[in-house]
Amino acid sequence: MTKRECIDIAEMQDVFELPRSHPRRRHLEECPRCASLFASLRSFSDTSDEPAGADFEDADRRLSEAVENRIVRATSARADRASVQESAPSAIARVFEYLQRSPLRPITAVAVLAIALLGIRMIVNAPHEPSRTRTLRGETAPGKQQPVLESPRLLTDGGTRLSWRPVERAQSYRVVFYRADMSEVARWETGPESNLLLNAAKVEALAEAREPLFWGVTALRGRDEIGRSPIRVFTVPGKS
Amino acid sequence: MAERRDIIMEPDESLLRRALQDPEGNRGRRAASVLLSRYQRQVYAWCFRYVQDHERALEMAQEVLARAYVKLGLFSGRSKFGTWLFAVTRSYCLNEVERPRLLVGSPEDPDCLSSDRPDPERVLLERLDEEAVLELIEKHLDPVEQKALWLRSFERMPVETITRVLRIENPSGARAVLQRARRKLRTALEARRQ
Ligand SMILES: [Zn+2]
Repeated sequence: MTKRECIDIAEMQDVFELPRSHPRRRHLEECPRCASLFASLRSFSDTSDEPAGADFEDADRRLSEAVENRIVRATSARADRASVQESAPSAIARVFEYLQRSPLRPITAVAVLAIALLGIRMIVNAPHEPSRTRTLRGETAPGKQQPVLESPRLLTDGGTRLSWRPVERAQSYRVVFYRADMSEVARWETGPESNLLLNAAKVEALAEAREPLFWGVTALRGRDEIGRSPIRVFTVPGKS
Repeated sequence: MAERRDIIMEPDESLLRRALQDPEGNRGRRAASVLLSRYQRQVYAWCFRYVQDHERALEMAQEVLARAYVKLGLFSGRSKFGTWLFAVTRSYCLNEVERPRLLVGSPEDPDCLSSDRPDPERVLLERLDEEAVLELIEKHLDPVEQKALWLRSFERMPVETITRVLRIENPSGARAVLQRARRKLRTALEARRQ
């Protein structure tokens, strides 16, 4: 059997516009994997197909508010920006240092850098004006909103402790590990503790990913998100 | 006000360009916000299809939009923005829901055998990788059955959503198609063993 040449999702629409007799178009229609994915993509784009039980009015209102708050109103105070910019070069330096140590493929290296730079942009633009930062449900949350990540610390038993500066009014924290494409690798809830202990087995499991990982912390109050740290490259202490 | 109206009419590509050119400025942020808001309904609807719960779907949609914002700079422009956002949404939803077993179902898949019964076909099938499953289902199932089983098992899609995505019109929807597909697969696997 010849190797299956599946079609990248980014090309599916173009392939669909090829003549029916074209081998790639035929593949798109006949390969169960490609045909399923393309049917999903078309269903995603079909705005008239509203699932029963969904509340679009409420979703529209709350998501617009969330997007507006997170992106547009998250203008940092100039004074804060100046102080945060001091920390940006060290973050860049860390990523460069990481890239030099790791035998990364060029594409991954570009992705790592892009994410790092975006992360820095998020630091710079992070909501520093408490009164303007609101949660998804529109609740105004005072206090510093951003968990500030500290460097992972290696413990004597081979475990690693991750910690961050706590967020006022947070009841719990969620720690998430991502790959370079931002897909999730693992997540943990820590309760009210502003640190997470990864035992040696967990560290080993993360190290097995053999690709650059990133981590970030979300501060929660009930189910509402009240703060989010920028994403950082995760290096297993002692293994880098 | 006029500027706000103009921006709403702007095509995705030009909003994206502006968002990337001036990520820290008001105009860039406004462009990113308009661009993402344009798709928020679709993202929410997709998440809702997976979890059937308004609050959870909202949380997921918010997370997808936040990730998309952080990742805007990684969008290569090879596809339409909507296609890229679909890929981000799909990947997030796949992470959020467990993969159903190919031949053993949840209460949603009542046709499946109960998992406490020894079942060599099932064990064999669960061990096959994607390529082997593709080969097998292409050989034994009709095109609709192939897609339904693929969507259920690999895209982790709920049965009701498969009915809609594949526009299956019979009264029992994808459920009956999945039942038939699984039955055929089991027969094929049994024959293969003998
Ligand atoms: Zn294919």
